[in-house]
Amino acid sequence: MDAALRDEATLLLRRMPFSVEMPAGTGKTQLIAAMAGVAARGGSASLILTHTNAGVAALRKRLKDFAVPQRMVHVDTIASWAFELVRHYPDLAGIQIAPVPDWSQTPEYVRGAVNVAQARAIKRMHSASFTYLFVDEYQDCNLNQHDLILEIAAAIPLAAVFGDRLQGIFDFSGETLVDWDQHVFPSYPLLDREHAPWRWVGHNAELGQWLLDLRPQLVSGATLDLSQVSVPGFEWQPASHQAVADAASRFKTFEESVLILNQWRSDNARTAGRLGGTYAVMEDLNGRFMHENLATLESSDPDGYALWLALFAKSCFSGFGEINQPILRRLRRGEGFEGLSRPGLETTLAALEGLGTDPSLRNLVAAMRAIESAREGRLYCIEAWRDTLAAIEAVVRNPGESMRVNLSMIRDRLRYTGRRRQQRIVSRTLLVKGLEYDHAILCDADSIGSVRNFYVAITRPRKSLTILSRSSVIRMR
Amino acid sequence: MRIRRVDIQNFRGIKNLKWIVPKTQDFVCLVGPGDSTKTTILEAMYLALCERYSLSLSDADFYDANVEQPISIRVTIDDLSNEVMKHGVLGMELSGITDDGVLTHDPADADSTCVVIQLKIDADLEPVWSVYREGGTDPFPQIGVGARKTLGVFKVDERIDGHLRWTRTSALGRMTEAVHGTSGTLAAATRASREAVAGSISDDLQALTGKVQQRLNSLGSGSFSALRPGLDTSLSSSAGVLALYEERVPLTSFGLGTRRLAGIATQQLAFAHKTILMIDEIEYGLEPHRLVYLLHHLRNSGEVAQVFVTTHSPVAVEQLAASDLCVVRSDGDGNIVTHDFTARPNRAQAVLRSNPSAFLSRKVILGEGKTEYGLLLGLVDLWNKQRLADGETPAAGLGVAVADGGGGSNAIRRARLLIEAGYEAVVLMDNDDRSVDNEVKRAAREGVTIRRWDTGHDTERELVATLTAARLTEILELAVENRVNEQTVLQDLRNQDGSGADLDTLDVGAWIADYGYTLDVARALIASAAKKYSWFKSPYQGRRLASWIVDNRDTLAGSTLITVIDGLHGDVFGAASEETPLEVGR
Repeated sequence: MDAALRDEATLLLRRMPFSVEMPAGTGKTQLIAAMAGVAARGGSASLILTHTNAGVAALRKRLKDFAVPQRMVHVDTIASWAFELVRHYPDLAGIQIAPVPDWSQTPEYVRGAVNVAQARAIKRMHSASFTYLFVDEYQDCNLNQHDLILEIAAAIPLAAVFGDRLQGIFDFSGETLVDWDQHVFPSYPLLDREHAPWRWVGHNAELGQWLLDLRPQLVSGATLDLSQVSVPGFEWQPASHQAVADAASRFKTFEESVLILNQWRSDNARTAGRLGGTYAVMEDLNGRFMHENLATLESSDPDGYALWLALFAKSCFSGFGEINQPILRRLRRGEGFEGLSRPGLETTLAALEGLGTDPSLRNLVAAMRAIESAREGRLYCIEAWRDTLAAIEAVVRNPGESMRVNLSMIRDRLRYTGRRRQQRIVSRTLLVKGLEYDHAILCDADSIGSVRNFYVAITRPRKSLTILSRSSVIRMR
Repeated sequence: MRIRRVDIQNFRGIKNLKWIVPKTQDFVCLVGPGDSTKTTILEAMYLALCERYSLSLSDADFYDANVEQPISIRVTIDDLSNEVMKHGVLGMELSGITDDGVLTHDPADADSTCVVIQLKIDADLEPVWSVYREGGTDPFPQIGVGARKTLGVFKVDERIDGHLRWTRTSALGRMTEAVHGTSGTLAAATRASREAVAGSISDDLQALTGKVQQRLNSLGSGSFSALRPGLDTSLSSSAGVLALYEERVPLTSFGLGTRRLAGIATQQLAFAHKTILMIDEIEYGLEPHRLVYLLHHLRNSGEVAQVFVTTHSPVAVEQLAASDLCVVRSDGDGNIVTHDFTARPNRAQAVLRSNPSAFLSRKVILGEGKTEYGLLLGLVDLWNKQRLADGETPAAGLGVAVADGGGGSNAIRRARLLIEAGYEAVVLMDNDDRSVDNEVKRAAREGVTIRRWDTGHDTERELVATLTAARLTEILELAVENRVNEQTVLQDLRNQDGSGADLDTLDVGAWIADYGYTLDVARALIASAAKKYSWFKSPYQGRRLASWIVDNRDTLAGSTLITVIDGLHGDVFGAASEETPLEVGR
């Protein structure tokens, strides 16, 4: 922590409670960590809440860099903190929940946690435990979460909330997000602060400054002519498959990370497929794609395992185009592949044929391993393939268990351990919010979604940004 | 921090105990007969809350030595410190306790917030500490030494010397840590001990020792003036070589009482917040004046959160309020019940004032009023003398105490209070007041032994009921001792005499011969004057009267007076064959 940062952190601690809007890449994480660090040095503990596990991991890393003792700070997601409160105090919460979280129940957890946090004893627990409260990504708070934070802040009045309305892309249907004027400012007065583009320092300062300066133009309905932008590292191209491929193959070194962004997972899978396994598809935390496939498997007779595997492999590997209708028809009928020659896919076909002859989950696992290690196709849905395999394996080990429940547990672990770092990723803005990459390619800027999605997308890279769109003039939605 | 409830299963002499400590009680004195397990309760509470890593346990620590039934000790603490309330300590394991001691899983606003510390020991003898939640399911989250340390519980026992040295777990070590930070603890002590050899003690340590000295003096342990850290060469290990010295004498060489007081002093200082203090046999090693001083300090200084003591000392009990007492009893099958007097503090306080030993005894004989009380004291004194001469155990040795009933129906109420608390109770009372008969019957049903005179008789009337004129005159002579001179006694008699006769002699024979009194009239007159002018209404007069009765036992033979008194003798000493001396030592 340098002296300037420490001074600012010290000053800001004295100005709590407050809210502050900080643009992407302007050092929000390091500022929160620095404030908690200064507080810790003064003997005061902090509670830091955010929305995503990625955010938690980023904060923890920064706190560790600043050598803030673990016992002086607790970092958690709002959902997880709510879950802990409800799990420990079900009677106060008014709901009984399972000891293992089911994150689809998050709204119930948060509502229950509001009741818990209101209790006299829990107010004391909060105030005895923490002097300062920090909440990050406040723009993503729905009203229930906002209520929970208000209750906690009643016990920890020295509270600061951080956010950026331009990055609010968690528009879950049916939930109302906080309105800053109506909900935030009355409790947490706005703090005015000069923002500096920290993320781009030493990488591409001009890109950072441009992104900062661009903010006032990023309002719904405005247009932006990308052909007029002249910033080092910035490039606009008319959208085409070839343009994506060219841009993606431009990066030779694996030292630098590259992110390709589409709006939907299906687009990502297609892009990754076309790139032939050089980029991997990032899955959402719940693993919806895997859940859908496992649901199909669970409803299938053993006779259908081989067909299921063929289809699943086709959706995870490139180079399996030859596993085409004639093959699939045979599988559907439960017949072998006699007379069908597929040069280069011998091992894969043998695995499918073997599974068709002697179908069982154990053999399904063996077939998946055989297909992956044969390397006859190139795996681009690495996450989906491996976690699905692990879920099936768990049921082979413990017959009677549910594959999808096991998948949930595997995916849940990810929330705490963090994702395996992949240098080349195809993803969606929602999944990479808060993450940093060296380079980003925005595939179809016309359909990226709201202005907020657009802003989150363009602020991910430190070094270069490539935007592909049908026309150079894009309209903000 | 305050212990609100204790639940024990299968620990030593305790098969089962559920003890709800009254909500506001911050001084608790456990009393009860020797095998009532009060010391065991204290030890169990301490083991559940102490900051030790392991416990040396054996099969004998299980009730009936049956290791199949696990030992379970649960201690509920409310009035929690901020440290305990912390998220990383026990803040996520809080429970609630209602005013009458019912536990709830979560701490509702209406109830008191508490934690329930559970110590469980299975046949493998491995102690497992966890936080119990009512209605929750085993296994409960385990807690380590760190969390238990925040509870700040300290027990004064035979390990006290350890606390007068600087070690990692001693109170002195802890205090150094609290004042100078974790990094300083042992290292500082070791370094300081090296410096001590060189003849220089760091200012920090010397200042700390000064505080100990001040506190020690405030506890009434003589006057220390030159307390300092010094090198204890009696230990070979490196830890704990630094110890407290007064001039050149290590504190560990002082008397037991001083060492115990010093332990308390260091412990109090070692904790930022107030401690829960446990002292087994608080009188141990202390002269009465130091005991009284210590009790006074602990009850009134406000420096300790809560104190639990056991005692066998009437000197100690005398310093307490009856509401401080908790009577512990075992049914002989390991079921332990406790009883406190917070429901009727005044009545209990009256018994305590009358005789502090009453609550330390097994059986209490109450005299209805002053006359009966005095008579009982006198009788028991005389009987004791006789028994000692015969080589037999006196009343106190049998756990029998005599107390003042307080007059009228108070005596019956006090007896019922004692019965409720698990004592045996006997009341010697008049039989001239019909308004108390119902209450007497109820008390008898509840187990109170009632010793009453003949119907219509108070004690004075019973005394004279069978006396001849000569004996009546002896009674009048006893009265003279109390009323100073013959004239006053005569005046008492004349005031009560409705016949108009002008009595001028204490010779009752003359009354009959010269004044035409019948013997019955004379008896009635004397009884009435004795009652009216309280001739025997003092312990001294009671003793005189008792002595007279015992001396004249033969002439009184067959009277109700003697029958009742013989009954009392049986109440006190039992039949010669069933003497069971109570409580020898602990």
